[in-house]
Amino acid sequence: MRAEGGRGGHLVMDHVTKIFARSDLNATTNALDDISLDVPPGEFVSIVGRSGCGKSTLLRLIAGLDSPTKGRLLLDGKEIRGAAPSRGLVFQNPALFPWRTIWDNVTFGPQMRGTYREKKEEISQLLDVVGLSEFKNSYPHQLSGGMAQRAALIRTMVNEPDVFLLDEPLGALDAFTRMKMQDELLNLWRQRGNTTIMVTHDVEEAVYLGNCVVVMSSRPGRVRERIVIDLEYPRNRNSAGFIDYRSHILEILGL
Amino acid sequence: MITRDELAELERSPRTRTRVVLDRLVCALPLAAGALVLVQYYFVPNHGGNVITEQYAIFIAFFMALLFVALFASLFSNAVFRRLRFKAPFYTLVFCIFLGWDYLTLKTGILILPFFPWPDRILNAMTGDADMLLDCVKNSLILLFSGYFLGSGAGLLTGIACGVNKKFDYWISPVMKILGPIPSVTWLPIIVVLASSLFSGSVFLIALGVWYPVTLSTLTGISNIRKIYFEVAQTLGAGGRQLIFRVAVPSALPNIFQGLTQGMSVACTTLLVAEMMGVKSGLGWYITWQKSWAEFAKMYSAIILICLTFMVVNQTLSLLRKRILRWREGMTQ
Ligand SMILES: Nc1ncnc2c1ncn2[C@@H]1O[C@H](COP(=O)(O)OP(=O)(O)OP(=O)(O)O)[C@@H](O)[C@H]1O
Ligand SMILES: [Mg+2]
Repeated sequence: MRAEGGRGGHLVMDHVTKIFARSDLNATTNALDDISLDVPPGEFVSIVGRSGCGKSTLLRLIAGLDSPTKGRLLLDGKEIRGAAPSRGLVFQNPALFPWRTIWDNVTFGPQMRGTYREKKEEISQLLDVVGLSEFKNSYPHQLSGGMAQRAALIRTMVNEPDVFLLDEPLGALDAFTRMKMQDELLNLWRQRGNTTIMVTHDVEEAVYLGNCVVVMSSRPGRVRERIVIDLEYPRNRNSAGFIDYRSHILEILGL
Repeated sequence: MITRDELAELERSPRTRTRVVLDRLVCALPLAAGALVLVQYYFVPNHGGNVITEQYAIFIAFFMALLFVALFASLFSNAVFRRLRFKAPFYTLVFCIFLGWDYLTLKTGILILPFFPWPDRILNAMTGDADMLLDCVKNSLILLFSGYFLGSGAGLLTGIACGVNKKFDYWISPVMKILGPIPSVTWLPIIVVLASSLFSGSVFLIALGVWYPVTLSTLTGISNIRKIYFEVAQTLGAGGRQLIFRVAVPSALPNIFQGLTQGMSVACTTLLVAEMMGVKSGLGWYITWQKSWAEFAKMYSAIILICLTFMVVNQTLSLLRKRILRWREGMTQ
């Protein structure tokens, strides 16, 4: 099952390798090695893998913040070069602009792109949904870690990117808020239909949200396995099928 | 919901009864010191043929009246009380300095005229020459701000240009490294010869002095920005000019303000040197002029005015900084 909307981008990674120079010694880190993935428009892909296996690196490549050492990344047939609002990335740490209030942070994109007027209402509602309306006029350092994460999520979401990249967006939330946010994410994705790639450490979350789960192995980062989750949304975390997928993935991860 | 004031009150550590009484007494201390000043002024015999006027008494009494009002208000408002309790020891010291000053000059003549006039004489000099002095203040301020705005504007532009454009930095940085550390007054002799008027020459000198710290701090501010802010902004659709004015400049503002403050102190120094060495107006000129007539009381009154003027200017700047950097409230010390 796919999302109903149709504004997702078609993302293709073609034998992507990323090697980093290291400043400490005259050596290099092979962060990603020969990654090939095809993400059809509107698909929700969850990525899981050990810490340091190159998940953030992969998202940065798709966002266009770094360029691959070898291989190509294509969005709708065009090679990705540089950052663009059509590929929105929610960073692993929230990185809200400290000099802007929460409202000015979440409206940053529309302000820059001249769509502030039309988006105002919608952004207000989104803030309400994630429970931040009360803190509109606060500054980022006055927010808790989880609140900052939610604000960062909204900030990228309001830009309506064709490809929505999430780097552990719910990592700092308590179990309850987390489940609520997962459902909100799912709702928004189904309404808007943007291609979504989400990195997470939580296997249950990966299975709950993704059309498929990509399991990565570390150093060098490779795609270990791509598992299609053949369950209807909304999924039941306690169903037999769900639990099977979960234990299968945990097994691959070596737990 | 409780207000900020109530919150502050709740979070303060509890005070004992003696402590409370002591605090109230401290608040009244400046008034006592002021009274002492007046008592000495009128009732201790003057040294030699020293004469006194009413002006000093009025001056002291004015501030005592203000303090009295504050003391009265502190009985009803916690905010006023805290402020007064905080400032009272300092005000007391100020009155004590007046007390000692009167004693050493007016009353005993340990420090002699004409070099050490007592406060009353300086006050008289100030009111006697008020028109002239105000004119000097005006001229000094015009010169100061012409140079300051020019210099800080140029500094901001260079700093931003160097911060965001490597090529610009390549050519400008060496110039800055060579010329920057030279105090701008060094150029005064050349400026006197070259400039079309001493005024424009001095404006240039002040601007030059301000330009360096502002450029440097802007540059530092911009190069210290965490890369991630640019990346976030870019993925959100900001480009070119927006990256400069919506990301680079705002996050460099704390540094920029440091440069602006430093620039102001350089500007004040340069202003006085320029006025003392060449320009025929302003407070610096007034000082040298009165000194040549051995009018020390007038000289001191100009110095006091300089002090007050610069204090007001710096206070304004720091208020502006507080307002603009409000987002850092609670984040830094
Ligand atoms: N800018 C960089 N310079 C050098 N090495 C880097 C850089 N960025 C990442 N690396 C290296 O690449 C590897 C993958 O890093 P990455 O941040 O992609 O991991 P990750 O899977 O996101 O880990 P985590 O789950 O802990 O966030 C790491 O070994 C890291 O040291
Ligand atoms: Mg990561």
